[in-house]
Amino acid sequence: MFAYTILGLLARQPHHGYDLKRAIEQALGGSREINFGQIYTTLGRLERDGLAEVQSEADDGRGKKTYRITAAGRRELEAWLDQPVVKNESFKDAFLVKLIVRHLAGYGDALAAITRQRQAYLKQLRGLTALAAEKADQPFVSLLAEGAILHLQADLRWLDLCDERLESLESSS
Amino acid sequence: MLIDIAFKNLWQRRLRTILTILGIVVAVQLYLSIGSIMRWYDEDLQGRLLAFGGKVYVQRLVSGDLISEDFPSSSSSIDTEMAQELLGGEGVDPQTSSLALFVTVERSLRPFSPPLVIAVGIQPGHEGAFLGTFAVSDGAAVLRGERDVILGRDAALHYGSREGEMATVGETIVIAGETFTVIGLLEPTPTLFASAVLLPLETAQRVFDRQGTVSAVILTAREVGGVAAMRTWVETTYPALSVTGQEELAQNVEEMYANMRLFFNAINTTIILVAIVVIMIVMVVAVMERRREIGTLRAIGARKRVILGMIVTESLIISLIGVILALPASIGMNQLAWGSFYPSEILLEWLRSFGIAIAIGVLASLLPALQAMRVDPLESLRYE
Amino acid sequence: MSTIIETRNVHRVFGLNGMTVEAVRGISLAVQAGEFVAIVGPSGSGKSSLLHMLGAMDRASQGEVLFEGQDLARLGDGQRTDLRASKIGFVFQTFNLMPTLNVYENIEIAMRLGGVPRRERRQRTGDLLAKVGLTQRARHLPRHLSGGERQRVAIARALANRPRLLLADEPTGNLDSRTGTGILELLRAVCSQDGQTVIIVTHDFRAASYADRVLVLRDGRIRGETRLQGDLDTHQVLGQLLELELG
Repeated sequence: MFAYTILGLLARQPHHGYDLKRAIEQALGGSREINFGQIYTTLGRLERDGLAEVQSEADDGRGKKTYRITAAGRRELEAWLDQPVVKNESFKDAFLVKLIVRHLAGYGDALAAITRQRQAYLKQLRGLTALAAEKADQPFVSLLAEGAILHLQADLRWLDLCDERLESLESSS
Repeated sequence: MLIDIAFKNLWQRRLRTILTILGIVVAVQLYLSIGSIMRWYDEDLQGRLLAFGGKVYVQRLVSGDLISEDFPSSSSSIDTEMAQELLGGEGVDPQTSSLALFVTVERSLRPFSPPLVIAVGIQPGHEGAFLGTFAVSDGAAVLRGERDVILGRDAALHYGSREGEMATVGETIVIAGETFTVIGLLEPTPTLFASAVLLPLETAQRVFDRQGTVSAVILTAREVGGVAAMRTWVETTYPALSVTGQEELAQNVEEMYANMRLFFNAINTTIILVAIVVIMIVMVVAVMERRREIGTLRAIGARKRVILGMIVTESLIISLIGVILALPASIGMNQLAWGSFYPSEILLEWLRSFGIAIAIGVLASLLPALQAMRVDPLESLRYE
Repeated sequence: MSTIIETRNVHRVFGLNGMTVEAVRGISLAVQAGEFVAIVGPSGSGKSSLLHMLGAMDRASQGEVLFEGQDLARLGDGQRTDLRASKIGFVFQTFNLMPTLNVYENIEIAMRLGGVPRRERRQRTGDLLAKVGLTQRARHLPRHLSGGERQRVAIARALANRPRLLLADEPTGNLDSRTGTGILELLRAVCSQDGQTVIIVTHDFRAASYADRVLVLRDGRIRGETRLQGDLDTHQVLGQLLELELG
């Protein structure tokens, strides 16, 4: 994913490593510092695969390289952008695994576990609503937060469903 | 306490409010007009009774002709000779008695009313037999010439040369194609006398082609206590004739008025009921539309009596505005209908109708107010 | 801390066409002065019925609802009405402003019903308008306001008599999420700044997350209770979020 972020920036115009670091940090709402190592490793890999190449090397003696995207790189980027995303990773629910194991192991009191999980989700939700309100002027960051909020709301509703089903399961056994 | 809200609610639904008020205006002005007519009849009745003290009218009535509907009866007919005999009867004072001919010249526009103009042929010098205690305010009281007439106020107004002006003494007027000279004007009197045109009996008989007959003989007793004896004499001597004195007149007229009052009162009651129903319908609908608002008021702490007060106030505003506007409407209608009105009477009726307006407003609001009071605060939470 | 309102094993049964439905089945809870509590649950969970009983608008079929230690079931209609006028403020999902009254009058009417003298009403209405940010809108009619503005007026009205308890029934249910956030922040502000006790009922977990304590209802019973005191560091939240999504 990080490689595509860099390819995306190079597609607009050639950059050198420091520019890339600043541009990425800015797009992320200035909340996180990207280290140079990660950037240069990724650039090296892109160059190796023929997706990017060195355009020029500064002759100030420190060897600062400016990279640009290749035709193959552009094709790769566009193919990736046009490919719809298939959801599967985000359907995996670690809490469901815990519920199953709890059941298999013969531990009762699923409700207590659900309540603890709900508390964790609600706290996260509280943080995200605050974040969405604070970053309302930054479109991508607030979209990210809103998406996470919607996921959490679904997760909280799903916890209610867990409670309902497990209650009837326990009362019937 | 929520008077402003009551006003605003009415203002919010302006068209409906205006139409409702219009309905009330129409109803109340009808009520006022009828009240005015009834009052006019009452005065007329009192006036007539006053003028017949100590007298009897002797008439020959056609069967089925109620004396009260047409008095004095213009269909009654007595031979002049027989009439002369009556004048010479026992206990009769011939000086203040007279033969009389009554002929309707102009019918009234009012329902159930005496004629607008009635010609009264009377023996010259015996005018008092008809006029009783009423006097002439202008000119002479005795018909000297063959073509002399004395006019009551309404008759004078009718024959005035210009609209709204009375004919004056000395003026000539035309009745049944013949010209007459006005020699006297009566003081303001009850209707029967106000509409009278007094003229010499013989002239009247000739002009109206009633030679040899009269309508009635007006007899005055020689002594104050002699009326009863005089009546008995007439009744025994001439069984075919009918005698009408103050008592019969009072009774007959009262009977007629009783029926009329019943009729008018029925109309008036209906008018009031219609007014109540109109406001009630409007208020019931208003409460139905505003259940959620009323529920909200209850939910934020309005007690039932506050809601009651709001609904009664709205109803009262409609009925009171209706009554206030009904006065000019009533005056206008009277003016249009009869070209005159009775301001003092209407004002009096108007004051009384304020009481009625309050009654209408309160009665009309009872049902809707009850409905409004029963609105549960939880109705504020209903989502449409 | 003192208890403002408390329920003890409260039930509410409705009779519908010969069938009985038990909307609330034995709920016990206590809300302390200054708390912000959310009661969350799906429709049919009994949360609205519970709110109506807490708001002295409906009576329990069984059990007790104690407002400042007084059992609401023992009060007559008039006393419960007076309680609603003076000590309990109510915010509706559908705002429920008087359509014929302007913003100022809509706030003032609560005080008229609560018997506040005229001069004090003027003073307090001005303060409330400032608090909800509608001073410029005082003479507007509700139909000329946005949904969020109407709900602000409704909150000002509910706060007008300085109630011990502010109840809100799905206060953001008819608002878009951004406007709803503003309303929830206002509710949280009156709680944290003025110490106002607030109970909201909602099906929306996002709205519930503004509360200090969340009660989860299902089938007329409390199924879970969660405390959420304190604000999180949004900077940290964003960091985590980006790590998850872009890392």
